[in-house]
Amino acid sequence: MRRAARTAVAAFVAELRHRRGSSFYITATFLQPVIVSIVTVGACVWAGNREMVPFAAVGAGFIGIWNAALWGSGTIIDEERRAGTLPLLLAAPADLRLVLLGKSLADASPSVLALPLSFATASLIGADVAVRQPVAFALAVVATLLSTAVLGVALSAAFVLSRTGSEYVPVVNYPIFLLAGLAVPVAVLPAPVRFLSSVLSVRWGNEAATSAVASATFTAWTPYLLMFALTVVYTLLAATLHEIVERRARWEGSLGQW
Amino acid sequence: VVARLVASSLLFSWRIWVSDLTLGTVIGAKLARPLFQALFFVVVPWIAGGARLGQYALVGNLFFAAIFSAVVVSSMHVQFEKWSGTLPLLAVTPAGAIPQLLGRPVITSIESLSASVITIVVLAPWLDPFPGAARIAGAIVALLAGLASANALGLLISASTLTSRWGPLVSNQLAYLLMIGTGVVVPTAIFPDRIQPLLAWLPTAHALGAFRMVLANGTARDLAPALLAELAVAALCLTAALGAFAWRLHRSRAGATWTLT
Repeated sequence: MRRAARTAVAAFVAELRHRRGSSFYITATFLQPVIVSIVTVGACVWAGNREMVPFAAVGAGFIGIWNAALWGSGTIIDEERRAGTLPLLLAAPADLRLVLLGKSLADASPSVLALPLSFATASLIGADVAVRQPVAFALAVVATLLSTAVLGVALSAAFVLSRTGSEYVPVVNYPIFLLAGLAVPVAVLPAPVRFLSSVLSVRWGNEAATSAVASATFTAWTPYLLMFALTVVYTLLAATLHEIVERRARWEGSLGQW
Repeated sequence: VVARLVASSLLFSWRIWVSDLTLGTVIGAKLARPLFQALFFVVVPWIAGGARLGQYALVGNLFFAAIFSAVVVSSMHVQFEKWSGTLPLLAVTPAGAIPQLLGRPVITSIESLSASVITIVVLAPWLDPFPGAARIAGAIVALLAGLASANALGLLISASTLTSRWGPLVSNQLAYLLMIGTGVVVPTAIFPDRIQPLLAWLPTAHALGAFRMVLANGTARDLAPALLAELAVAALCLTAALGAFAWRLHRSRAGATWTLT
């Protein structure tokens, strides 16, 4: 257990150092929430739909968290492959899944700042957003962060075998923003696709955080429990998928090819 | 000679573009991404602000699908030369760099237009009222004027970031800022009054205004001032891009620094 934690922490620190020098990562993480917030909050302000502002501002922040986790899952594998270190990571005694979890968490963690950035942007265009339940809000954000990082590890299994997998990340992002209820309420989605939004933990995180912003009283544990349950499912999925993928990659021995 | 250089750089650009194509990248990235992005930026204001704002964003995104791609991709051509190590060779070749630069954005414009056509095919049926043939023709003219500015802006970004690794980042983020600053999705009235004159003169802002005007019953005479203003902005960006490129060329030759970037 201690060894596993040490592996994940080492990967976390290495990835943070690496990202510190990445201007693209820094700008994408900190500028995107501002742009999305101007669109979502700006639309509410322009239309006089003030009651939707907390939802729009929180959603813009959660889009930043989701973006960082998903983008990270694609680029971590790609960068290791380009650097020629992916086969070495796979062959090392340390579990690749723990390395990826540490790196995925490192990519997702700074994106927490997307929330205050989104709130500040909303304030600049005339819509102040205040967190009324700070503890519940912080819990929702941390739980979402962990859950999306684990989901990122699960998705990264696909990128181990596919060299073009990460090209599709920006494409699937937009439908997921809508599906997860980050940009529009889930209630306006067609009934058949609402089930799909239920299996995305970021939806429940967004609902819990929006509730903590919009209401002064704690209403329900349901979103938190659903996030926990989904994170367990994502963990099992990540473990299984990576086992299958790693077995195949070792058998074919072609990871070093680019 | 100039025409031959433009043609050869166009052909080179075309070959690179074609070599990049697979069925997966065509369907999954080149066609799907602009469409999904436009759909997202139409659906969100439609639900948050109602049908009127939805229509506003729909028209804006019909225009901007091509513009976004043009800004990003036109700034990438010089980057690709840099990454593949051929930029220093281009710089020292006796052939002029300017006609070579002019040939490259043609393919970008074709790609931008193809992305735009797909987006238009999917989104246009939602226009209310649906425009007639004459208005569509006017809208295409406005879009072409916007593309001239977008390509010139892409080249300017490319030339300005030549000695750094920031080109792709700057073009991508500037394209998003352009979307916000020109009022593609939400009217710029939400921004403070003191920055309105600046926003009005951003590249593609006048063309977008003309695009909106022609679809909302504007006449050809109404369009002319906006289109002329847009072409002036495009000419300014292109002049600045060529000037910056020539200056960088001079500096980089003197210091032999391009291979370092």
